[in-house]
Amino acid sequence: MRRYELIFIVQPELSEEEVKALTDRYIQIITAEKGTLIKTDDWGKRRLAYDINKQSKGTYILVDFFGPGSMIREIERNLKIDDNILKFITVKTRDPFNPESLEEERKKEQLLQEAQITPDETEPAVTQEAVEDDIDSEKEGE
Amino acid sequence: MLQPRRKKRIFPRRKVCRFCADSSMIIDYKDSKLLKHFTSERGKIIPRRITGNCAKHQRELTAAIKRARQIALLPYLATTIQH
Repeated sequence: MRRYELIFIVQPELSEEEVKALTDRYIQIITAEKGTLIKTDDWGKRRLAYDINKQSKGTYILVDFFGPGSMIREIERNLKIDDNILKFITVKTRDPFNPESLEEERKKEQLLQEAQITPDETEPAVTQEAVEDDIDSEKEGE
Repeated sequence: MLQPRRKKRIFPRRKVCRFCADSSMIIDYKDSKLLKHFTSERGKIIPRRITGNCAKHQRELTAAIKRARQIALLPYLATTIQH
């Protein structure tokens, strides 16, 4: 057994329900290929660092799962065909993976979450302001 | 650690690998905020002689940055500043 992490970027035009249906489809493929889902995470619509298929935004979906290595080929084949998927990446996070270690991990994660409350993502706005300031000061210098 | 060369009179402050100093900092390709600190404005990976990272962590970092680029979390190259 190996543990994998799959991230795929969905076309930004799709509605939440459509994205959900799409995610469910891939979860079905995972289970059909004898894999087991650990969790999915919807990162929402994000700005892409560079344009993909002329899109500057995309919905990020993260799927955490484990199973035999042979299932990856089938999943990736489906992702390649799908026009709604802008890009995807599968990363092997643990090899070999023991499903029993999941329980421990869950407990640890819970403790972590209780210990720290992650702040909201306000950084992009801040950096943009800083950049604008820089440009202004340059102009003054001239 | 690099030994400061003799020619240079100014001894740079000895940098410590941030990931060694703080074991709670985990290098993850999904953490684009953290990875951004180790890339230049252009999107290039900053060499470890400047950041002071140790070889092991720099290796992990470059792999993470390259992964992040693949999934469009980080740019391959940033030419103009986006508004």
